Amino acid sequence: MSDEKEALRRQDSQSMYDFKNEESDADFFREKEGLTKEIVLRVSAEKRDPAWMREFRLKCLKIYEETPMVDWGPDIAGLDMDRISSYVRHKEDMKNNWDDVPEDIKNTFERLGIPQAERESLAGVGAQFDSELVYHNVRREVAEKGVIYTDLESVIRGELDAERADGMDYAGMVKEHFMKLVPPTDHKFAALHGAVWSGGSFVYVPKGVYVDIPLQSYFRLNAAGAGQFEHTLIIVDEGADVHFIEGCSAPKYNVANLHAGCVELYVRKKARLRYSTIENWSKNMYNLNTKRAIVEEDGVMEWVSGSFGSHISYLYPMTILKGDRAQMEFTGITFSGNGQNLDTGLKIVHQGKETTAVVNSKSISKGGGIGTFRSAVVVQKSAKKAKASISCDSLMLDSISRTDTIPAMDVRSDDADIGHEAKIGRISDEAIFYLMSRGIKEDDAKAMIVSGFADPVSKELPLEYAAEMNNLIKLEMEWNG
Amino acid sequence: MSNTLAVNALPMRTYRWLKMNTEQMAVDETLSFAAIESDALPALPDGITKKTGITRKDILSLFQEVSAGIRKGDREAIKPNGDAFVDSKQAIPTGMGLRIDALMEREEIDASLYTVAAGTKVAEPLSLRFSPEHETAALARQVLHVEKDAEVTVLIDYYTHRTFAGFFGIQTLLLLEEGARVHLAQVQMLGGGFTHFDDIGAVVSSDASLDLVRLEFGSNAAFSGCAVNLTGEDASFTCEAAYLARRKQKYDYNYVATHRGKRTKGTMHFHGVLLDQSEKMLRGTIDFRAGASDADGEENEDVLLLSDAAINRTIPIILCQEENINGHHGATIGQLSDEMLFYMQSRGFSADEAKKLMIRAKIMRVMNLLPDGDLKSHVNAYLCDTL
Repeated sequence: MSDEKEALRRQDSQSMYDFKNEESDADFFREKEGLTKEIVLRVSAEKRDPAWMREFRLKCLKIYEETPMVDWGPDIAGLDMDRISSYVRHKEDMKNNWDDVPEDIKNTFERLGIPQAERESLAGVGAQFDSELVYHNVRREVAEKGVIYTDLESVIRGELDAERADGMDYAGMVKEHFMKLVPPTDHKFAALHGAVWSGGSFVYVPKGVYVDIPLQSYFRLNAAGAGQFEHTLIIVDEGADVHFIEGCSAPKYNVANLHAGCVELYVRKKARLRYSTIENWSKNMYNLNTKRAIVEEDGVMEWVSGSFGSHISYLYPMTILKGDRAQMEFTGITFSGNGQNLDTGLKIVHQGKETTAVVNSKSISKGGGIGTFRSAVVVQKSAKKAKASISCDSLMLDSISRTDTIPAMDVRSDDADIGHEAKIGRISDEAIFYLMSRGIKEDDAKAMIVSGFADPVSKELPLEYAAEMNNLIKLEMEWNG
Repeated sequence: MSNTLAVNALPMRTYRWLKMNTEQMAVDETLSFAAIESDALPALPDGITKKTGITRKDILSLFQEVSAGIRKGDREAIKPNGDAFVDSKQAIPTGMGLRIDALMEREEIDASLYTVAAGTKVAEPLSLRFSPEHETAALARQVLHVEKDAEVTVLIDYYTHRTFAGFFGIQTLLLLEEGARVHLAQVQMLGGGFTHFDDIGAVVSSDASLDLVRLEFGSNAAFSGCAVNLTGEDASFTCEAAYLARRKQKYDYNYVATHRGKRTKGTMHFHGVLLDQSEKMLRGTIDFRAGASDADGEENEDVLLLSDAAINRTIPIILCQEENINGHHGATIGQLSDEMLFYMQSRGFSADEAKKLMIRAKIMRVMNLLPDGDLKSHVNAYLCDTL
């Protein structure tokens, strides 16, 4: 066994992500399981919502109750909302100073490397533990450019407006955009999110501001049988540019956990937003997340996505190319191992003229895992000269797994140029033979080839995250081997 | 009074809002359905026998063995996400699904069974022309049983005067035994007021091959489904299909090639032109089942969209439960390239003439695969007249 492998075994997913903090009643408040009007009202009271938000939550609850369960995609019969607590929080409030964060939570994020990353390579960090943000900070020089990166709730309550007094109406801005891109009628879990959302971030990058190092939010769901419903709202104003990184993990429990977050991204004229995600939820997680971006004239939206964790995933970031010449690019990889059914992909709607989309998706299935690439490309009549190029490669590493590709295209413009290509195959025997003839063991050769397969994704990530992703691939190859 | 039948269901469902999971085919309940036979043939080609009055029970009996194998495989498969369309009551799976069987049985449409005896290479094509009358509702059902190492070419065309209206549906079931070869060509030139469906189910055994050539021009609404189960080792299926949709024509397709045997090969190519306010929906699925090692599946579609009001929808699916396969699909959707138009115009063609030439070229790629000279000439004349 190579030294690297031994090191990986020592530093396996148990120590990297799967460690638990016991949550005592003394330190934590936990809402009872299930979903009722009383629970929604108590969450609202906890958040000190203004009246409009309280009413909005109740409206969402009604929509949730009236909306049927999805009848396509992976089976989610194992998810019983009566056994999910929708709100768990530490009794300490959010801090802006790392030293003030409660010791047990601080230890969790230290082990995940978050504060270190902040010191070394991030413009700002948000850390959410269960239902609440426990830490939020943004570098002084970034804040001085007018960049807002804070928790959503305080903005909604008007606290940010009072604190900054810079003439901006941030509370109004949030009210205008909150769940407008992803309305609660979108699907059942969007409605659920609207009813019990808690935590998440608000990012506003003012006109023309270029944020040269990334912002990061890290979401940790520590409690067993709980749901996390954070909401991320990012507005990148005209000509601005920012890179936002999202990381997710959780320890594994024997009961189902639920993640039904919501991400709404507004990319204004000539702005650019890169949204990177490395998701490694534990393998008891139902990850039913909704992400959507709307891009105005000459704006650019870039998605970089690595999906490794969860028991079940439904994840399809959607991009609406509204403005003329708006662009999007998606680079993603999904690794489905034993006990996982990861249904991932994307949706693109071309509305503006000369809009372009480039998609490069990779999928690996191993050890009985099920991986599905599901996409929809819609070219509306108004999208003259729209162009889209979609490439989807899947790798099957054994015959007990399953990989499916379901790309839909709906083209209603006569001068669109749409190309789609998908391939499914296995690692070639020749490639393994070649590496083995150079003295590399078979398992190592396979891992090396899989890392190469994932290379187009990892090279789009900052170095630290690319290294983490490569480690995850190696771990998955080990654990599912 | 009109009723709708859910047909052409995807083997696995996807987002509801796309409205691609299945299609509703309107069936006018006031119509009086009747069985239709193909136009009289001078004589059946040597080597083919025909038996009429084939009932559902006869069909189930003929396919009993292969059907049991298919069902066993289905039970053992890891279900794909969203799988909800298992029509287990069918003798064999067909592209359009159980509702067509139900319609045939409700209207008591018996089938004709054509049998090609083992080892027979039928020299003359079996030519079947269906010419439904104006304002009638006609249904036909046929079974083709090609025994071991036999070979046959079957030409089926549906033709009426362009102004005719009505309803015409046909179901064709094929059983290809070991080493059998079938060349099947279908041409649809029904009148502009017709609703039409064409439902195919085929089982292809070891070393057997099915080649399908399909051309679609007529009808107001045409639904076509084809499910091919490649059950035996080295079984193969190729499909070359072309369509030209104009005015408000609406074409809806569901083609599924299921690879169950080792070294099976499947190729599906679709070439289309959409004009005016026409609409086309293509569901094309390559399904690799566990055990289909060394299988090869390819699907390709190229569509010329020549009108701003035309709608092109496509969902090319690959399902895979076998490691050692090669699966590939590609789709190109666009207009005529400016370079090509410029070249043609520089050679003295007007833009309109150049477009017509390009449309003809696209259709003729498939038309030239028709094995029969007379039918090819007839289709060519129809196409010239249409353009």
